[in-house]
Amino acid sequence: MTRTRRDIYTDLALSVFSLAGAALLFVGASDLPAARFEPLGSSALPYALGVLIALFAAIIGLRALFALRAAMPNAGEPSELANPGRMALVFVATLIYVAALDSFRAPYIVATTLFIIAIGATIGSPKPRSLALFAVLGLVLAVAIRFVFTRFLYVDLG
Amino acid sequence: MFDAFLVVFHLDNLLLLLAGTAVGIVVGAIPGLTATMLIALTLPMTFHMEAVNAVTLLIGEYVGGISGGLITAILLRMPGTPSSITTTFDGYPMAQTGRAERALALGIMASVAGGIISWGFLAGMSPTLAHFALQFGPWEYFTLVLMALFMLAALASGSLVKGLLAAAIGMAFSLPGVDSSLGSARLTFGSDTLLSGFGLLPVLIGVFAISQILREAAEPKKEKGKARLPDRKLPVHWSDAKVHGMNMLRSSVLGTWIGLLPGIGGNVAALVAYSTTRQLSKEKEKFGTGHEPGVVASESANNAAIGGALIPLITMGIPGSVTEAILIGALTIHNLQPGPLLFQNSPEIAYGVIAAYAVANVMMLILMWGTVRYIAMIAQIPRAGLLGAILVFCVIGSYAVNNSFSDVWIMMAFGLVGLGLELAKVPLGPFVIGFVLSPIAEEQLRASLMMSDGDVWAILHRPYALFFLAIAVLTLFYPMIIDLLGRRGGKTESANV
Repeated sequence: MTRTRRDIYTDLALSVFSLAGAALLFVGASDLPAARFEPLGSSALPYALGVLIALFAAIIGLRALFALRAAMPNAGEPSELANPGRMALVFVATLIYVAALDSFRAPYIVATTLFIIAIGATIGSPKPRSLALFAVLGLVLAVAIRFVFTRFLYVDLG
Repeated sequence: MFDAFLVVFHLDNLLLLLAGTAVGIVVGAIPGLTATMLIALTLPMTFHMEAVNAVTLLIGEYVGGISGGLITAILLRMPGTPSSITTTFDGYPMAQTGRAERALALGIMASVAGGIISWGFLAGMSPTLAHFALQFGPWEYFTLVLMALFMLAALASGSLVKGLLAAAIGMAFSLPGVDSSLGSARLTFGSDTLLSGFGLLPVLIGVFAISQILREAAEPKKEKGKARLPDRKLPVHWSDAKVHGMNMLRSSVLGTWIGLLPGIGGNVAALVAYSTTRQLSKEKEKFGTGHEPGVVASESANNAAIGGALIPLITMGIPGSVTEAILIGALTIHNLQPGPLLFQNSPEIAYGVIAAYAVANVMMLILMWGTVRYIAMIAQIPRAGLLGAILVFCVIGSYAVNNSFSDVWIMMAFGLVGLGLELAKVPLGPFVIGFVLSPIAEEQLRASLMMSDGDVWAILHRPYALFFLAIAVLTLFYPMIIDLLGRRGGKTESANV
């Protein structure tokens, strides 16, 4: 079966990232002490996994390179992700939410309500009526979660 | 066993089971949300519970999560869970021709039958298997884990190499932290945060929940099809037992045995049972057009697969699927080691799982029978609010593990890892199982080599270990053997022509 260029480039990227990960394993394992009290030692598994990951990554990479010649162009083929921009926005919004709670010590209820509004506007509809609904949902959710976690699980959410 | 049922019938356990099953059904009915994601998100809340309570809640969620998928599969042709894909083949055409209530009734009854029949296997086989597994030593456990990993990698959808790569990457992520044998830091690269390694929960929540939500967010905005909600009583008759009884039994037995094998989930079980029922039917042409046996076969098998998958979990500590891997995580969080010793050291947990599974199936029947109309309505909640709420749960759930935001950042990072792997068509199942089983495999291998003074060939004196190793190797080369046999067959045919 002929593969598309997008599939092949994805496989090449996977291969490169995996080879980098294998290299990291070798670097980390090289610092570990040699086995003393038992035959295997601490570094055996990292080395073994490094070799295996490098081997599988090489197979995937080589297959992708060979397939590149016979590859079909991407024209007309729908992307794996229909709207990557919206996905990126949701991820960034979540990062900001976590940073607000962690680094800026933002009040939990306010941050959560604003976060739900932001996600609602991004994935759903930015109309004022919808935003008001998301605000109510966010507030109720934040209060309910704080009640359960503080009262029953003894986790302070701030 | 009787004592275990008494424990499950305590009011607190009964309420947890009810809540777990109910939430599971609702989540299972919502396309895009899975039982795996629900269990991963619930785990942080079980920290403060007794182990029995936690297990009861999670088993309820598991049973409910798989069963709920049939509602939207039948009403909307959108299976709530992958296990219900086959149910759409005949369930949706039945709903289209005004028989939605009948399809739901048969689906629910078949699900319960599948659950109860597989419970029979679970209750009957587990203590015996656990007793047998007591003979196992480190070599057997190491090869057993290896076998499970190879089977998962080989049988996961997509390429074998990618399955193996996923398992190896998952294992590699379990390495950072303090080496349990030597007590020294390993692969921490000077980071204090990495000294405690990557926690199971942030990894699971990141890989499953965050990556899934990001993918859902990238989906085009579309209106969900409006389902015609069931408005009449769900019709079943005593004569159905005669008409569909044999199909339920056969599909449930098939589902249980398929569930036993690592890596093959309820979706494959349902598909195999559906195909078998079709092959044996005198009305093959009616399948796919709204034929009742199709719904019965699919739903009996996918629920039975849960009971089957629980057998290796509690007897040997080997997860049959990702959900079982999370259940293993839940047990280890409560300082319990799944495996044969569970029946000796913590019988209340081992038998508790079995009893909770039976009661959860009965609860699922009662809940779904009475509330199917309302569950169908909940499944149509706008996803924008739903995904935002789940993201909040992910963040708070990861934070609550150690009251630390480091875990939340790790969860976010693993969200990207999960998304990247999925985009590259690398299966997540072997990744997670590799992550969960790697510490066990390494510990057992080290113990084996210490026992044999570093002699690898000592494995030759362990017949069970050799057997597991042989299956692992066969699993690995199975696709190549099939391919080779296929080519030879082709050549012989051409020569004959």
